[in-house]
Amino acid sequence: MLTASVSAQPANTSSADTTAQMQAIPPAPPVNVSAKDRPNDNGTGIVVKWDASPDDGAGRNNVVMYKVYRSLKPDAPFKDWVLRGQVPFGKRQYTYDDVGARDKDSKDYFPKGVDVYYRVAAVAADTFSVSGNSNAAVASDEWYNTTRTTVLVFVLVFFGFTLYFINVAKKGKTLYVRPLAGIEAVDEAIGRATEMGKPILYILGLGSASDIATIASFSVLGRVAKKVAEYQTPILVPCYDPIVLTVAEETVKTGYSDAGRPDDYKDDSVYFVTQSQFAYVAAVNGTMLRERPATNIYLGKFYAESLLLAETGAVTGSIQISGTDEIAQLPFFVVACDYTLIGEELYAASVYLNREPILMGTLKAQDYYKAFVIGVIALGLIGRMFAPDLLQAIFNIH
Amino acid sequence: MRRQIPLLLVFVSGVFMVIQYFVPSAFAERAYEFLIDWTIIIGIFALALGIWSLVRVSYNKIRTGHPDAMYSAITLAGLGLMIFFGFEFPGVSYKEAMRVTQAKDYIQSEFSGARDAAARRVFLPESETLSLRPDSIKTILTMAADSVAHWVDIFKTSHWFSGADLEGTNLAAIMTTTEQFKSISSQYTSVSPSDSMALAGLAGRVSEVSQQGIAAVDSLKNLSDVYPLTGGLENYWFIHFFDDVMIPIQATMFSLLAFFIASAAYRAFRARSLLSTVLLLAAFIVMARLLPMGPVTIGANKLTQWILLVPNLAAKRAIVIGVGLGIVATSLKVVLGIERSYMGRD
Amino acid sequence: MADSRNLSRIITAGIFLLLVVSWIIKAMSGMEASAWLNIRNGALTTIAAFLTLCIYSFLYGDNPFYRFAEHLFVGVSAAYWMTLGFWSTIVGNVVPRSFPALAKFFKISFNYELGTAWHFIVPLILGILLLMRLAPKMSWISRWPLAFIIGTTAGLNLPRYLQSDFIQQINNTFITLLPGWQGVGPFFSHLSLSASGQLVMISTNVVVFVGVVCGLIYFFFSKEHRGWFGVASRIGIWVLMLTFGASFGYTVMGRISLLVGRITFLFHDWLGIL
Repeated sequence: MLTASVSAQPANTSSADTTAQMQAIPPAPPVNVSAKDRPNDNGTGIVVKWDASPDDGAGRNNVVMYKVYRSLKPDAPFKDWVLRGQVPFGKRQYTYDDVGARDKDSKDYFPKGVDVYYRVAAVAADTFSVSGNSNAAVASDEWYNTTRTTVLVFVLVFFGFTLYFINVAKKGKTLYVRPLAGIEAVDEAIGRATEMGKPILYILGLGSASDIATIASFSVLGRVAKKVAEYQTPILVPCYDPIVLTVAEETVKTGYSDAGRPDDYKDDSVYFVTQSQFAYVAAVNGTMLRERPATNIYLGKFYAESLLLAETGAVTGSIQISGTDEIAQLPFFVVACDYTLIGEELYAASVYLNREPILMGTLKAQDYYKAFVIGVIALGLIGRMFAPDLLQAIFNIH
Repeated sequence: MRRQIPLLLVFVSGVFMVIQYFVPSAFAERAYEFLIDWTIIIGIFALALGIWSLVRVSYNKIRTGHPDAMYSAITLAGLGLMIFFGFEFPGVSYKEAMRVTQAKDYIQSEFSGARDAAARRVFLPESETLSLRPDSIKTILTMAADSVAHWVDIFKTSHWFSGADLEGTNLAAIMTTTEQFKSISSQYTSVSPSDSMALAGLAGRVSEVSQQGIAAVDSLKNLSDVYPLTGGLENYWFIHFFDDVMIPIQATMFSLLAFFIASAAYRAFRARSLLSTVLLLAAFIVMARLLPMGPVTIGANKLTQWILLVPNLAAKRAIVIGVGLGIVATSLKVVLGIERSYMGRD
Repeated sequence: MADSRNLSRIITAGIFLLLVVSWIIKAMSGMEASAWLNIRNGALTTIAAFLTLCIYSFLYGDNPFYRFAEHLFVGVSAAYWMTLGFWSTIVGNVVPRSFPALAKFFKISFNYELGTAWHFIVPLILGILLLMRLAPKMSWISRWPLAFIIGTTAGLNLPRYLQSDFIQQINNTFITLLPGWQGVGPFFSHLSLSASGQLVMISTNVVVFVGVVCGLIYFFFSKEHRGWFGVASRIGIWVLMLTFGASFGYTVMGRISLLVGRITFLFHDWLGIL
């Protein structure tokens, strides 16, 4: 049976050594073992620190690694201590993060709120010696993750900008926004469809209702629905996601009510196709070829099928307005569509079509925040040249 | 009132998720996982609504004699067939099918687990074996044996397998190995934890017996080979509709992109605006690196690398920063209730 | 007119003949033990090839074959996702975790060690509220699960996208404009055009920095793009177009390989020519 000492004295040999070798002498144990609660976690970690054993890199020079053991009782026999991990030799001071699971049923459950004790063993080829007990440490959870302070600061600054500009807008000051070709084309395109007597095809994309691109698309759909209700142009909205379907129905119905023609709304104009990417595209392409819409509007999240949609629409001669934040699909839309809203322009579209003061205020806030960003980048460049460590600390977020 | 409660819900859940990001406590993390799971489950109910919309539209087309009525009938037929194969087939329980299918995997994993536990005991250095003593191995082996016996029972009592199907399978061999497991496990109690040679011997026997067990398990047939008309996801026709209807059409639709990319490039070239010319020029340079044309290819290669390294990085970063800002702004608008177009009107 | 109709009839008949012949050949050369299995497998491959050709006929325009394949695909895929969602999530996960007694009665196999999770009642109730949409009088209550989902995701996205798409990107732009700068003299004395040389590195970093700033200026909505602002904005959109072109060129090979994949299926797996 293994005899390991629990004091600072060298241990005797282990009985695993059955060959008639000389008694191997274990290294001196590590010193100054300390333990404290791991910060910014959910109560499942303790940081253990210790100094190197005198035989690590000096003296007998036979330490190969250190092993960290834990126990809830400081005077439990060593065989009851649980091995938590190991670190290789080579430094003067060591740190080990003992992290467990918070699930009581898990094998790696880390007891929270009770004292735990640590011992560190200096291990040589076939012997080891163990240090004394560390102090008692308690793993506790923190209520605030300090590494995320930078994010908090940025959020609050943005919030501040937004409130300021909403106030400015409410006071009645007209805020200038530059013209966006794609958005101005929407009205024109609806007019074209009305003249030709053909429907408008509005595709909300393949995202879910919680994707921001889809939410932006809903706002535009509301405006488009109101206009088509006024001009009595048919509209087709095939949907990919069922929740998007429910919201789209709601939005189009509201558009018709806003235009004063709630009874003109046709139930089958907003419909669900399927939740399979290429089946959806096959169906929409078929619709394009058969119904020959005069205008196709693609606003939302699109993936590989973007070119299939846009190209078919181009072949049938429709005016196409697209907008997405998927960077990989933007090239295809730019090539195949008449107007493309790139990334942030899609999010701004709803503000452009509905120039309410509050929305204009938020758009201004976004713009000035971008200027703020350019300023931060410039400051950061200077900071990088003169104070790189501070920069690292600020922007190193866990 | 009807709008107030949803807007309040949006505000409360939004603010909660934002605060949760800054709080590392266990409760906050748990709540985060719950909410993600809940969204998935609600999504499945929404799918039922979607299918209802599809059925309604197709039925309306058939009823009103739309020119595409025949095709709507095909849609409904495909829908109906898949649902039929995917759900209960008379007399055959999908739930039982799942159990029986997994029985074979469970038996196999019990045998391998026991074998590995026994082997680890011998080859670990002394100080690591404090938590894996002989009596705990005994427990592992006994539990494994019981578990295997339980799964074999499920196999035997399931009405999937008639006596004829069980012929040629080694259920008897599997049961014998479990008996051997139990006898080996009792020998562990009489071995000293430091007697490496004895432990190695026992581990060797456990390994042998496990191997026999695993070989016997392989003889158990796979469910889909025995019974083609199971219901649910194991249904033969369900699987083949997926493999031979959905997959070919999907892959073919995807491959149409090859044709479309050529026609799109051709049309953009004819459009002759300055920006689209720049775009096509860059596209051509990137494509030219694949042409076997000596110096042109090498030059194109170098230029491509530069394009991908410099303007590509700059543009993507600019777009991403703009998009990130837009997402943050719109999320804030949604949470505060400024953006509520998705709510509709009363 | 009659010519083209006749031609299309001949083509249709020819394709059907080809399909039937290929089915027979596949069934006869099949490797399975029983004849029924061979016929079955032959039919399945033939169906896959038929549907592939139906989709390719889209390139000629709308036609009955394409419509047939499209409508079949829509029906089959919608049911597929619903079935999958029902069995793997609801029956496989939610029911055993929230009603273990019910699940055990139906003998659903599940790792019951994970423990009961009563909280799944909440999304089940929200899901049923969503289904209330079908009843006109109660449809207003279907906004609640909607509000929950949208609110949760918005709150989730806010700090995360701020960190990953915004702060992280800013951090990555803090590149030193002058890497390894040792003074004006050494700069000119060690001047070289090699890729790792100082000149190239500095110019690369300067170009990236200018590109990012000009791109951001392009997305500025509040100011008219005139004068120096307009110049920066033009540079920004050119950089964007260069990038889009490169992406475009890059994906071409990928798309062509998909086509090669399908042609391999048609000529190798189905016809056995290649």
